[in-house]
Amino acid sequence: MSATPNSTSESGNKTYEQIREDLIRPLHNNSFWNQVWIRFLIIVIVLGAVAYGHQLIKGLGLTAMRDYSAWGMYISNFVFWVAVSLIGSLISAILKLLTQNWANPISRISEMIALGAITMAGASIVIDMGRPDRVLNIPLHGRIQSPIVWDFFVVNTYLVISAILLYLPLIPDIAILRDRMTKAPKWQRKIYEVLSIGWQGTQEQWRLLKKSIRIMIILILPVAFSIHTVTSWLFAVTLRTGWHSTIFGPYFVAGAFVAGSAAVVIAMYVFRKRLKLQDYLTDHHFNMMNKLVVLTLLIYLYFNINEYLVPGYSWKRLDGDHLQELLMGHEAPLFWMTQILGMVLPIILLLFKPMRKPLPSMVIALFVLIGAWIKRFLIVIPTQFHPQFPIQNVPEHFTHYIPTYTEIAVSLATLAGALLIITMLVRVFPVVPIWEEAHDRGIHKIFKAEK
Amino acid sequence: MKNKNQENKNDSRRSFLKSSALLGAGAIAGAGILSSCSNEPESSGEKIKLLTASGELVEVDPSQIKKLRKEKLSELQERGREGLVGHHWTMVIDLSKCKNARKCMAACQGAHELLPYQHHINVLQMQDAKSTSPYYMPKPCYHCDNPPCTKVCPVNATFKRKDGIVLIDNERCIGCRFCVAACPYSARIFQWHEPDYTEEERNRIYDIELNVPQKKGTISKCLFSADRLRKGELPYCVSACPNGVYWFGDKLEDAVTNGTTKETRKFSELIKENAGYTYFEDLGTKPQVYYLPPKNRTFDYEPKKKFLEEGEYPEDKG
Amino acid sequence: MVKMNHMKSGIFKIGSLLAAFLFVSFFGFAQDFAPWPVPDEASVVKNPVEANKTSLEAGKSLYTLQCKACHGETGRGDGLIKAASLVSENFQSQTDGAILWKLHQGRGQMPSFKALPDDQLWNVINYVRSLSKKPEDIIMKNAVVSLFFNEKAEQKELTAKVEQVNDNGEKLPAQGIKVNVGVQKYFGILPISSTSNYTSENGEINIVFPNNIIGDENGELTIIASVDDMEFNPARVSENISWGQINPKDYWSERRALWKNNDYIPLWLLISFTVGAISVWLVIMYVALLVRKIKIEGDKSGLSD
Repeated sequence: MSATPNSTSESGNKTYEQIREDLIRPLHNNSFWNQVWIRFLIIVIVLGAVAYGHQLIKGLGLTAMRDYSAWGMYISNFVFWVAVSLIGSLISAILKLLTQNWANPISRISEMIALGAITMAGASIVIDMGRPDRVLNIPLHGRIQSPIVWDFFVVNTYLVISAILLYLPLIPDIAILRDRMTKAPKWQRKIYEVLSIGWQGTQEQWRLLKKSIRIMIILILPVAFSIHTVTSWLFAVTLRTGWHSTIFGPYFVAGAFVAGSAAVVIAMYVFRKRLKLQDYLTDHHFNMMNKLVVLTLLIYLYFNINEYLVPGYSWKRLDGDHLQELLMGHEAPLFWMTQILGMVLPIILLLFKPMRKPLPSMVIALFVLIGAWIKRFLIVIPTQFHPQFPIQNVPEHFTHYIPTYTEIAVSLATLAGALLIITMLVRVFPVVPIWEEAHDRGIHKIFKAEK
Repeated sequence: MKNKNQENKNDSRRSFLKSSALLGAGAIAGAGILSSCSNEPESSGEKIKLLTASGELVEVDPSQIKKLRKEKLSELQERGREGLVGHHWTMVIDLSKCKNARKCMAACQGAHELLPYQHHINVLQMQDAKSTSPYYMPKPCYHCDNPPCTKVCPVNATFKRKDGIVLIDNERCIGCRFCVAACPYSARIFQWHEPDYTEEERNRIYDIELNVPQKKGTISKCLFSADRLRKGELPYCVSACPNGVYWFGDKLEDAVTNGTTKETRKFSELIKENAGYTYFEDLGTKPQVYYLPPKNRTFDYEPKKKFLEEGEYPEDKG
Repeated sequence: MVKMNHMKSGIFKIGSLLAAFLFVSFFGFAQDFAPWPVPDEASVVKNPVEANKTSLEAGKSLYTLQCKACHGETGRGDGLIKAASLVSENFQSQTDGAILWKLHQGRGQMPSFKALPDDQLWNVINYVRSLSKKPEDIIMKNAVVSLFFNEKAEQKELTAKVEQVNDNGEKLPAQGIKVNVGVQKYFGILPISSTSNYTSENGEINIVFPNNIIGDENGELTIIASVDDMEFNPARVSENISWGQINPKDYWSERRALWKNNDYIPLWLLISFTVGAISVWLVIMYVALLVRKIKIEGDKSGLSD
């Protein structure tokens, strides 16, 4: 991966003012379709909220979860959202520490996705609770031995860190917006005024800011790894076949990078099209980003082989039953579709450069992302139908799990919620960091505030 | 009489309600009034007339009832969490005696107010391998000495008491169902629906040792009938079995009593003579429910296909 | 009383079933069993065991263990499940041979007792016959039972003595009386075995007391001796003695474990969690401090402009 952007040849001759205006322009553009999109998301959220309200009154009986499949779609959503949120740390922290400067323009996209996803991860866990009114029992009576308490702590911490990491590099940009967006509505100007915290671009301020960012991108790494490792431990610490695996931590983290990278590719495509950022989110970025997708997929493939080959080889009693069902039985179509369309085929396709162009790679990323969600579904649910003792003396529908409309509506609402958070962030803040973009293009002036 | 379980259950409830005259009155007559009065300001000065269990008519302030309810609840919680210190309850299930009569399940479901498909104890039809003989196996909670379920509880709503019972506190449970996922023996159930109680029944003071009234969105499971043990009685299932399947007792005093014959034997001898064992010891959970192998059986095995026919599940249509 | 009729239909079903039992036990004594024909050659088998006291008492013991649960203490079929009445005319009109055949066969809820030797089954049959007799037929005598403890060297010996109390208050040693001796446990009495349960001519039975009985935290046991004889009213004595092994009563050790509450949380976990959590938040605080400094710096340079 090269740090020299070939984009300089296409648009390297832009001046700072041009860059600034290009990146601010989308914020003025409150188009019809944008309005429709936001209203659509709100409707989906309201429908989900109604379904959830119904569930609150009637109980979790409205879902398809029962005593054997006690965890269902909500928990797989939770795992999925945690996974997607990890991308913030991968792009802004890991790539930055590795001085992969090509990723600078997409770091903010990944941080926005991370913030939206982690918020919905928190929401998903509350949605899944039988007694959400008692959520405060976790801080009040928390048992430090429980992975849920670790998760509760680490999700909240990660939410805060994600928000800070999104905010810090935004400060100079917000200062620019404060000075440029004089025609914006009052509430928007107020946001810029407050959040720019009097940024003047002095040398001392730059020093302090760069130091803060540096600290945060280091801090986010252990927290990001813990959040998904702890999430995997919710399963791995139990004595259940298919869950009780020592590689679940890295397996989940690897899978998370896959899901997050795919989400970033899709977001890049959408923003490039909708916000007309072809000069900033170039083919080069797609090329590099998709190479990253292949890398993460390959790591994930490696863990997948470990995860299925080892128990499949020894074929212990319950492991055998579980894998029989997964690989050859009832779950097999879904499983193989996910593994092939969501992992193997994308690896092969993305090895070819034309496939790493924006449109094809976005389509592939969609498959990868949907596959990532189904994969979590397949990790969470089938295991629960393989307890130590046979399932007997319960109604027939206790022995399988097909999500109900309530669950689907609520889940879609969390998806809409994440998208709405991202949409609103993009409405208010530039999706590509202005100062970083200029800096990477060799404009080395320190941005004093313009009065 | 015939309906021993029913009677015992009523007994326990009766004594429970009588435990304090005023409180009893509150629970019997006041529950309805209470709910209608709960919105009123506490210092209303209004008095409520209540009939006590002893038949006297008394006047009390509504806030008084509330306070007493709270006190009673916390008293029950406290002693329920502590347990009967100095005991270590254990159960021995003689598989050679079980004929799948399911009196244990019925008695248990009656006492804990469960639906026909909600099992604290579940009689399974087992066959270890194709070539081996099938047998019936009652499966309660194993009250493990290394319980995977209480390990993972985030709020200490399920816990191991000092007498070995793994209990649940449905005033605390947040309904995350991690314990259900963690239990390898499928011993736990969840109240997916609002239990079909009257207002009066729902307002009863929660008895942690009986886990009644059941609450929507919380866990339920076998409690070794902690309420009965406190009174020196054998658990509901143990005393309901007509075939002498169950032995129950205190491991520390090395004695178990058969629920059917009331015979008392040394636990260690019973296990030794009959080659008693526990299930899936390899999981390291240290179950406290022992089985005696299904050898020299009293009854022949007759496979029973379904517990209830489809459509007989009144509440749960999926 | 909290009414049960609002409960789920399953519970309601159980309730109505129990109500049905109640009805049957009061008015019908469970007569609605299908006929159970016995082959003639089985019916004509004669009972070779005389219904003497020994036989009846042996029969009673076995009845208590194997039959009482369903057929009830008095044989009325009022046990834990619906069972035939053994005192009904219908039942008592059969021959002993027919009853033995049924005991061998078993049916439905009733298991086969083929595994037991026939003479024991004849004892039970004799006892069941006695159940239908009216209680006035027997005049009950009174007795007292007392316990004596004797500890020599390694051996502990226990003596239970039964004395018959005559109408004038006179006490005489009673011979051949069945005495059950046991140790009180939480749910019942653990029998202490002896060679004979029947008193000798001086009204005593002697038991070498086993060493492996567990007592309370001081090794104290409650020993109970009771007269179990058809001709005597129940009599019983209980004495405490420190002949047991010490019960530690401490199965619950205070060790730290993963499944305990926060008071007994493993230290390694407590330390790693707390240290991790605090350090992450300290760093976040520090960054917040830096952001504050940026603001102060901005205000300063804004003023100087």
